[in-house]
Amino acid sequence: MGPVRAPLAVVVVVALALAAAALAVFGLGDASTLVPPPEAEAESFVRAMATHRYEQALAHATDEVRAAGAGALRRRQQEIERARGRVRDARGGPAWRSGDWAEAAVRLTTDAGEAALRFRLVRRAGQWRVASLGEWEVTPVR
Amino acid sequence: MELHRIAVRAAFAYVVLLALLRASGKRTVAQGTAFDFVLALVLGDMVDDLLWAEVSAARFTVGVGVLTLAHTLVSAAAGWSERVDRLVSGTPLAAVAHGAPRAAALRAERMNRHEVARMLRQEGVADEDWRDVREMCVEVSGRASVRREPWAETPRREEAPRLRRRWGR
Repeated sequence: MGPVRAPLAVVVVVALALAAAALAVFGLGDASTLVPPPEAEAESFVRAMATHRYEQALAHATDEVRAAGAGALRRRQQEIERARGRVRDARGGPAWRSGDWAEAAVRLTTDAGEAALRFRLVRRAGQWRVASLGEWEVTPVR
Repeated sequence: MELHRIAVRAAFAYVVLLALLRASGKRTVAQGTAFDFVLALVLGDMVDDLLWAEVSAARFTVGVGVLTLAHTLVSAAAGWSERVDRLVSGTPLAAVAHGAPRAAALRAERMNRHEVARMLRQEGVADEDWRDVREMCVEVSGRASVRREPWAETPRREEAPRLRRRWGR
């Protein structure tokens, strides 16, 4: 492989792989194999929130949530921590889906024990995005 | 998480990485430099992210693609220019010359005498035979290469008649 051809070949491989992924997502309607499923997206959102990386959390959110800004996420995380203490771990649970809408529960391990937050998600441009800041699935018990 | 989805992601990662490494040429990870090792670790971590659906296939492709492209361009530049090659790969350093360790080189490579002894033993030079070593270089891959003094070289077959005459046999 010549020195000029090798970088071009890499670009071609990347383009072909992106085309294959795009075909799967937009052509075949894949919503959870080559893109993170709703529960994984919600889990990533909660993990970013729990570590107070709100700008990173916004990357998993819809434009509407993004418009509320990092401040809204900070306030929501403070509410969660006031209710349950520090979030030590987060695991995405089974999701319910209907078309481009989904709901996913994220199970939290907190200072006050186990709890779960339920998130609404919407599929935009092939990717699931968090559309709500999470509601307690059960009333938190101290 | 459904197993068939993990299988599809693993297959996608395998095909993309295989195609990228074949397209980038043998130099990409064949040199075994410290940076090649770091790159292999980073690529492995990216595969992990895709396998567990933490990133989309598109993000994975862009990530591994840009890293491989950058590494390929640097490798190509190193192939064109020895100066670039020295800059990105470093240069071999003679740690032992004429049987004696070179203190400055050992300091530069953060090595001690015991480490040199171990590398020489791996190359078949016993601790009491250091005088046989004309030069031991620490190559950019971190491995040692040893050149022996002429008297310590293993004789070649074509030298046999000359040596027989010399030793009177």
